[in-house]
Amino acid sequence: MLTLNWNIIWTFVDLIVLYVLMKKFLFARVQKVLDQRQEMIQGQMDYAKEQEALANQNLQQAQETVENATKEAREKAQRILEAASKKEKEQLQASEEEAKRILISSRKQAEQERKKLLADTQDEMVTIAMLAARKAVGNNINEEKEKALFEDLLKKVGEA
Amino acid sequence: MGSLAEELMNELNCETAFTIPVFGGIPVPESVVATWIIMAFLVVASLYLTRNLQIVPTGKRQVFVESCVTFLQDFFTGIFGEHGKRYVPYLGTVLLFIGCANLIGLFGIKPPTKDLNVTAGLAIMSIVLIEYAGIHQKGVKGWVKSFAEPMPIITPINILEIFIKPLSLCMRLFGNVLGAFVVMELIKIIVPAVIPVAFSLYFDIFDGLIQAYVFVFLTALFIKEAIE
Repeated sequence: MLTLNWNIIWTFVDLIVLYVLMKKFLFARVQKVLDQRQEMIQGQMDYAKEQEALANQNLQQAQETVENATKEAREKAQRILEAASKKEKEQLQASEEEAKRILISSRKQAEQERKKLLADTQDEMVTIAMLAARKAVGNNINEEKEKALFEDLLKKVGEA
Repeated sequence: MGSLAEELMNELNCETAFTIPVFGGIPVPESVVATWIIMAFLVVASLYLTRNLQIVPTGKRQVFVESCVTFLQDFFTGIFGEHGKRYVPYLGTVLLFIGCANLIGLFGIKPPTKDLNVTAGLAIMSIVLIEYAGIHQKGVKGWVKSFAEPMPIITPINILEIFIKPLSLCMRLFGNVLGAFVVMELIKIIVPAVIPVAFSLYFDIFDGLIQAYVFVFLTALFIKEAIE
């Protein structure tokens, strides 16, 4: 009972053997599984993080693509609008010029007509005056001379 | 009364179970045989519990053994921190061994902890481990210097502690088991039936487990002191 003797060696040996066995069969085994699980969970979490980063990257890319497309579309629309307005302006100018040209040409034509009419009227008047004068004079003198005379007269009247 | 004392002494005597007939006969005391039984039980139980463990546990068996091991780990690392993790298996082993040793009396086998050689052996192993932990952590020089802390004047006390610590560990365990045994025997003489069951619950089961807990708890505390 209260005696310490060499039997204490047994305790040391037994305890060391038990320690080695328990470490090998209980603690090491359980620890191994725990570590493996930890590793697996860590791996999964890393993978998830990676995937998340990838997804974010993709999202960003998609956003960029959309932004670029929108920008491009806007620019294209702007260009079309500008081109259209330019064309319209040009057409407007062209039509204005055309109208001006038509106006000028018609004015010219009208002037010509007027001039022609005036000349005709003059001629008529000369003839009428000649006839009237002939009637008054009663004889037929040189017609050519007569006409020139009247025309001369008329010119003088016009100048006066 | 005289016969009671005689009977108690008889019960407490650690007899030699048998002798190994080599080197002129190595005596094997009863407590060692009981220790072997406990060892066999623990090893077989561990082998059964840790058989085909899976990373994703499916059975309750694995959950149980994992909870036990992580409980021990958390308990000890809670005392001496992460860097004392290497001492967990030894302390866990000692806890299981003392727990089983104190409970084995329920199965009619003489508890090995009732043999002073066993408790002394456990305590000496503990102090060896404690000093080893100190040397491992601080180096031989640092370990020697640590005796002069917190001030050189208490160096003799620190040296005495090397002997006091295992002595107190040993005697506490042995005394508790012995005391519980003696008290139980006395109760059995006064009331032979029914009543001893209730006391047995306290003295054999509760006190036995508490002593196992106290033993490893103190060892862990000393290790913490040594590696600080």
